[in-house]
Amino acid sequence: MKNVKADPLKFKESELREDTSFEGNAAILSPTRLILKRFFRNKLAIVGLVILGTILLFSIFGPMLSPYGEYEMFYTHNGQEVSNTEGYDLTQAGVALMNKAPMSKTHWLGTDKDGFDILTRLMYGGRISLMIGIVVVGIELLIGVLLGGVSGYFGKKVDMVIMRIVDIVFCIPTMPILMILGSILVTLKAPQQLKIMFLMLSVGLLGWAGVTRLVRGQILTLREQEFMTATEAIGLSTGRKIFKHLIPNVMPQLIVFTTLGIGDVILLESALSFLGMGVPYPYASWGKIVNLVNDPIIMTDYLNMWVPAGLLILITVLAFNFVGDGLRDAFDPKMKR
Amino acid sequence: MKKITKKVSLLLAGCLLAGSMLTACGGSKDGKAPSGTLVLGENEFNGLFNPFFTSSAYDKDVYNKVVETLINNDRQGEPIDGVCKYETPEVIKKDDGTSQTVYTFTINDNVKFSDGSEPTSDDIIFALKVFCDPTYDGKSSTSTLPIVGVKEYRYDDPNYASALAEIDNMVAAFDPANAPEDVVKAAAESLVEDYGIELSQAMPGGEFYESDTVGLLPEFYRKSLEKAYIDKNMAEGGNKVSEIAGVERVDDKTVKITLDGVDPTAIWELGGLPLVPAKYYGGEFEKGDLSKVKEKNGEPMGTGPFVFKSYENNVVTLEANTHYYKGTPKIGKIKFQVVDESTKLENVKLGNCDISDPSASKEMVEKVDAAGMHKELVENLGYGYIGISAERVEKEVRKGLMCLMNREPAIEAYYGDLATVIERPMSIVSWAYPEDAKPYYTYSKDEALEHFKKAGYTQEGGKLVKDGKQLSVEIYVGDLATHPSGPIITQMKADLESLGGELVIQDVAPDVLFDKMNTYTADMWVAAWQATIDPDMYQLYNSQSNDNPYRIKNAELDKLMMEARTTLDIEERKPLYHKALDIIMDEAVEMPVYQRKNMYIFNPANIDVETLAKDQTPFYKWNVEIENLQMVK
Amino acid sequence: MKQYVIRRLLIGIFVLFGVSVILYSLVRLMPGDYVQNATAGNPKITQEMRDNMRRVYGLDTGIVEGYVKWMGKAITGDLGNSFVYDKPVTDVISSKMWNSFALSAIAFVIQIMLAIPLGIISATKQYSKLDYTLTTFAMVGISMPSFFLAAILQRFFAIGLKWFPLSGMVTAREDFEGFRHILDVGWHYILPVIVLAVISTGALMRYTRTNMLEVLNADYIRTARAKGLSEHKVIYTHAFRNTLIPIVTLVGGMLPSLFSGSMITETIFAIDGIGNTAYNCLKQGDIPLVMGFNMFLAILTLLGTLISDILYAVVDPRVRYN
Repeated sequence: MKNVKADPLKFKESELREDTSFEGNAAILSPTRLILKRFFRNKLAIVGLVILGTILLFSIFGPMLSPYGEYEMFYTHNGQEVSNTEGYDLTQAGVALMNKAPMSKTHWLGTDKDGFDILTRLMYGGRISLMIGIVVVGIELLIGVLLGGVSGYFGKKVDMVIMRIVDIVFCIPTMPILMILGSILVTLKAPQQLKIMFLMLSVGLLGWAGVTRLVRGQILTLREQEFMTATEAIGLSTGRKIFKHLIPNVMPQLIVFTTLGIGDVILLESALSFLGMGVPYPYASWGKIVNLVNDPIIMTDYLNMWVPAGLLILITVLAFNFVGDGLRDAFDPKMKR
Repeated sequence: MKKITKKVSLLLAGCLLAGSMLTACGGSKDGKAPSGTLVLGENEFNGLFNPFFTSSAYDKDVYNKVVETLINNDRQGEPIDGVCKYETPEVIKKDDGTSQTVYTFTINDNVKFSDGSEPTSDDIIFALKVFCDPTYDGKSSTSTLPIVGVKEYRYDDPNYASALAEIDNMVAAFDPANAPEDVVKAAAESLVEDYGIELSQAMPGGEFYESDTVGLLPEFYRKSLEKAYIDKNMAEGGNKVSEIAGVERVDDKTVKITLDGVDPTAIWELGGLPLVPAKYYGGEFEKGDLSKVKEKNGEPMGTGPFVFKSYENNVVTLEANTHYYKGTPKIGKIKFQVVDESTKLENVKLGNCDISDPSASKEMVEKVDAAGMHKELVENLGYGYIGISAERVEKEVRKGLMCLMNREPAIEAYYGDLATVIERPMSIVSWAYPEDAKPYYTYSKDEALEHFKKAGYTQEGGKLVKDGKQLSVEIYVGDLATHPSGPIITQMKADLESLGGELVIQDVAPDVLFDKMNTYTADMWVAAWQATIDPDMYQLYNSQSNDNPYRIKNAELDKLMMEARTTLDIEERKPLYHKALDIIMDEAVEMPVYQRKNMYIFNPANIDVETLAKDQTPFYKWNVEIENLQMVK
Repeated sequence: MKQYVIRRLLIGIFVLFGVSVILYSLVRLMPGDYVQNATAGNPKITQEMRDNMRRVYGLDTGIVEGYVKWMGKAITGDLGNSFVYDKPVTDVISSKMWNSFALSAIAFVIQIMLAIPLGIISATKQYSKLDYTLTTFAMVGISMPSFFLAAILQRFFAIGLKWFPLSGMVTAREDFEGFRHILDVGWHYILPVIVLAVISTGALMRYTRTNMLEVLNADYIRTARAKGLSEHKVIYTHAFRNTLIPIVTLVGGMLPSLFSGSMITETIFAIDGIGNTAYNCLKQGDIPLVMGFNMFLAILTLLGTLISDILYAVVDPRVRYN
């Protein structure tokens, strides 16, 4: 009995000892730690990470801290500021819309041409812009990985069919089609919030071809390697083979795609806003806000209205690119340093 | 090869011009020879500078300086002489109670085309024939005028009257029991649209078939017969009727056009015909073939003060017409430079352009003044409004919504003095706008609530409900950057929500908005009307009209508007319109929002502003007297 | 090789067919057709006139029938008449395409001349201050919405400093001919070219840098260094040539896209290019032109991939297609 009790303890002790000595002798790191170590060597990547964190906090918690609503409108009456939600009697003489107000203590970035608080709208806009980026890339990944995996694994006719579909989707010009889709969506009787979803869905549905090609290409080479023969020998199911053993090997490329892709989608959203498609009034997105620059007066005299949104887009996309680049360098096994 | 010769000839023209400019230097002091280049900052062109086929207002700006219309209008929008003499139309009352109106146009003797040839009455008739051609596919509505014989010409059927009579007979003898299937279906479908029932309910055997569909069958039967007739005749083509009966060539210079009935708007359609050389546009014009007219899409020619030269690199070039009947213009060349709306002021300030029209706002005017630019503010011939569909929203609810529109602060903030809130759906420029108009609905949440309650809504648990359904209205907005309704509807949304209703804002592209409006599928929408000189509004509010986006159906209103159309006397028409406007307000289908001003800016360093037209009005803008305009230097 | 190209072309035809089906159905599903738009402002237009116009424009048919008609003509190279311009679509595209091409081509040359050298420098000095600075600048370029960049450039260089014209293609007031005309156009193209170059240089530079880094870590570079070659020779003779392979394929693939125009930049700077034209026609529901333009883009994309695949085989003798 005593022996039995003592045995596990002993074993643990020895294991521990063995472990420390092992680490002490040869500094071999796990792949994850290796990648992290390489990633954190890249200063730009760290900067990017910090920026992203800040922007996320700003967008997620900002609206909770802001005293105003996304489309809360402000009036002035006898020099006093009134919100349209207070139930103040707006029919009185002298009530004026408080639009284009300069930066002040109550409105840090002033108000825009409709009398909305700009800072608050930047926060809400951040939520929308980031959400659009994340959801769209999510959709692209979902379709791309699924089709790319299937196509690459099965090859032959399945591959042929899927790749022709990919070719077609790849050849459909994104911008004009998004504009067309945008106007078609209006005819569907859908509430405004849903329209943002539709917008994301259509951007996603047009963008997955690249991911599919990427995944398929990787899997074509992976398929022939020994570990796949091993899974064959064990007799794993096809689904398991593709999604448990092949896809994880494509992960590095996918992670890089995700970070860079989100940035691209945020830019795409702003371009759509410029062309009059995009998030519907009175909701805010960064693209929508920076588009105020189309008004010549706002462009020259009200930098507070459009520059912050432009800078937010700039640094967010920049940060995503830094992180994506850093990750790519870190994942690449050929990179020595 | 063709291209090369074209370029060579252009070069030659350039050389010739350079030569004439040199000589002009000597002679310019006495102010006779044209000199200088005027640069206009314009919006994008389609390059269709054809008075018959243009669809863009900017293209029109170009050819308007090359091609002139038969008559002009003065500062008050009254017709006056142009290239033709204006004669008051003659109304002929017939014994059977009907009447006809005769319009006479005589081309002035000194008028010449820019190639030096003289226009004749055939040129006027040619223009009319192009517009009335069966294959005409442009956007002009001239062929809808009740010109005597125009239907016969268009459908190429000398027996049009008897064909109509036959359709009448067929409809009279029509038995709903034997109605063709497609007619029944069309009638049933209209019910589906109007009442929101299932198609099967309106089809034979359905519960509403006997009560509703059958009654509509004769009307739809007639429509189908008419459509079949038109389709057949339009598709066939041919030249059985080669002249329009109501158009008479009196002599070389005079044309008489006879119209059935009286139509105060007709003078602007007929007087607005372009005087162009038929030889240039048509050659040997044949009915049913407009391809030759279209060949000249890019190069207009007429009697105007300027001659079209070229359109390339987004710049249109015109040159002074030495044959112009009011005397050769003072300016040698006009260039239209395409500029983006957002850079118009800066382009004029920098001297890239001399004249442009940035959209006027309080701050824009301040900037223009600060930059030392000369400006002309002219009321816009048109107004902005918020429409409500009478078909989709019940009357008391419409009235309630009207009471939730707080217009003043929004207009004040966007435009300041440059726009006024208007109280009747009519441009204040028009004589039909009642000067003493008072607000019909005032902004008040309490009053709105009362109206909603009258409509049968009750507030339950913070929600405005009727028959268990919450009050929910959908509003379509197009380009909010140019329409100041953003704050109005945002306020409305907040107020309606606080009352327990719901306002869904649909922010869409303008073309989508028009589509929703024209297919009557929007509850509410925000838009603007461009007005014509005549205030006739029959088409928009008449209960029979397809172009009545409000779906307003009011017999008294129909009668008033019809009556106002039967006379040409303004004083007689005024009270009729005032009454009609009140009815429209009471129906609460349209909230007039604002009347704004258009702004034209001029760079005084380049343009002699003293030579601009004086006392400009919406009907008489700076460019009317462009032949007198001079450049500084 | 020949066989491979033929096979690719056949697949390309199939792909174009698929693209055209999708495009045509989407375009026809758009609410508010051209007739509706063109006649919206004029209350005097009757339904009969609208019907007639729809018949003339071929908008009175169903989607399937309309597609068959369109396709039947498109096969023979007849893309129909643009509604807005009332000219054959092929004429409109070919006349506007060259303005866009000139703009993109200049930007393209600048982009290559900047991106490749800077990418290489950045790679040879990985993680240095210079690398960080260059990468940051490149990234800032690709992270900006083009209209934001255009607005800033216009504000500073055209309105503020008055160095360059604000917009337009030529100085309208003057009638320059020949060489002066070309100079004038060039002067007007500077700002839009900067916009296009700045927003695209980053991507190519990053690509060059990554590829260069990969090559620099290859065994034969180590061998070259071990031989005692100078670092300059190692980089510019041995590494650079091998970096060129992927770059040439990428750049070759970009060539056709030079004809596709840029909607936003052309609009802002009032340049009469194909992107701007397509945008206007899209807004007005000009179906033949929208179809024609989008098919044109699809063909360019297909050509791009084909060219880059062929170039890959040409540049890298190890690749064989069969």
